[in-house]
Amino acid sequence: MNKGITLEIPSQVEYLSLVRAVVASAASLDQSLGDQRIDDLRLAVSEATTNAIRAHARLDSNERITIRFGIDGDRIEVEVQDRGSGFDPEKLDPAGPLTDTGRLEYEGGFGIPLMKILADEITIESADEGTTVNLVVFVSPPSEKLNNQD
Amino acid sequence: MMLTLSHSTIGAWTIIHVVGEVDMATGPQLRQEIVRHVSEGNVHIVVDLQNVDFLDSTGLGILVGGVKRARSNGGDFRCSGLSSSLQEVFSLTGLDSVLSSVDLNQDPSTWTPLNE
Repeated sequence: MNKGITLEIPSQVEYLSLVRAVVASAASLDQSLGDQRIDDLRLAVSEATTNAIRAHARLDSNERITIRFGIDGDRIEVEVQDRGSGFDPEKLDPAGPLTDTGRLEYEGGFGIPLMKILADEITIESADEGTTVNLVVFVSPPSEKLNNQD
Repeated sequence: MMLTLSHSTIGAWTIIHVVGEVDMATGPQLRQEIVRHVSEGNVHIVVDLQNVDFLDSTGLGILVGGVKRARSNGGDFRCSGLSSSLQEVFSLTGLDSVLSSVDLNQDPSTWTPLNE
């Protein structure tokens, strides 16, 4: 990353808006990234940070959460790292469509699917020592790049 | 970041006006407000999101809970004032399939009935 910043925050929900503000401001330094894509990145990073705060809360942990932001060419990358107890991303049960019977009983299940939709690339590495979520947004989405090559 | 909540009425409908960002920090305020209105018998609710420029999965869940609470008490639950970003999130998550948007400038009798 030739342009990068690192943010370390206490594991408290009050810091979510700060993370969003920093990420949106940093992403807007690349003036070719449209407002909609900045909103997508802001939401995806907020979801990852929310999950990190929840992971620390489950352990009653005071560890800090690290957010690394970088721009490298047409690639904007944000990494959110916690020191929670980890989880197996492959074993998450999809909550199902909201029109399914009984789905309205459950308020959760939106966070990780949203991250997967909003980011162009997402990697979740999780172990007993913590979880790292890597989110990538391309300044020109991959589909546009392919079209531009025609 | 604070969430500012106020309410008004249009006919039988209670309109909850939300100003700010809805996330894990502020969402509980909105949930509490919805629960309070339903428990007071105001089961026809519109959440006005015109002045909300951020709403995350916590907020989506609270709206899902609002739909469930209002309907299970014989009422209905709608939203209004969605920005293009919020419209995108509602569409991506399928929330727009159970939570329809209304125009507060129109008479409620013109709003699409439930399940149409």
